[in-house]
Amino acid sequence: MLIMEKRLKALFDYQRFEKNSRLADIVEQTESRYKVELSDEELFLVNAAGEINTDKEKPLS
Amino acid sequence: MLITDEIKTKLYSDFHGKILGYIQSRVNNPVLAEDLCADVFLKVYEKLDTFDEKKASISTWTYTVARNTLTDFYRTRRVTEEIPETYADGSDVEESVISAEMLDVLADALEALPERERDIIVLRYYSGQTLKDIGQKLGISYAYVKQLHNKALAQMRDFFE
Repeated sequence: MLIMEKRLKALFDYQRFEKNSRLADIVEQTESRYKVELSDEELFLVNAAGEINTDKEKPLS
Repeated sequence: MLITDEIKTKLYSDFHGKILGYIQSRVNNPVLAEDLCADVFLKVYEKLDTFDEKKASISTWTYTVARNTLTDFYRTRRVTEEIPETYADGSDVEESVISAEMLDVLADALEALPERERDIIVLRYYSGQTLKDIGQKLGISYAYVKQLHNKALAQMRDFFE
């Protein structure tokens, strides 16, 4: 399971770079269903970097 | 390999948008994101002679440079804090695992899952939510979300073998 989890983390991170349209649609559908709030990890990133990007909640634009 | 200005211009033209977009999705400060993007291009130009097209595409390689730059940034910026799991756990994933084609495989695997399991995977690995938080969002227990998560991972594994 650990290898699969690492692979998913890596691929979803790469998605933020490559922006595969099918994957973007899937993510958008999920996020719209659950109105994703900032995770602990994202909060960490915001705290470290300074300000909140409100586009974060939107799909891979 | 001679790195000409023409090659640098082409790389910048091809990848500036992707690199900046990636960094902006991780660093929510536009000025800082631009600075880090510039750092990435400096490294890309410096290391271009180490690029091996047999190991990875230029896109994957460029992404790896950007990712490593972000990892270095967070490690040096918050040395006393825990590094975000995305940058701590995935660093040893081989470049060969990361490609545009594999994103299509991931999309195939996700589309094959029931909606609830698909949502769990996206919320966990894209949005970075914990299973506990996901369980609360979905209105199910932690034990059950963990069970669905493991079932989804097992099903997805078939697509990557």
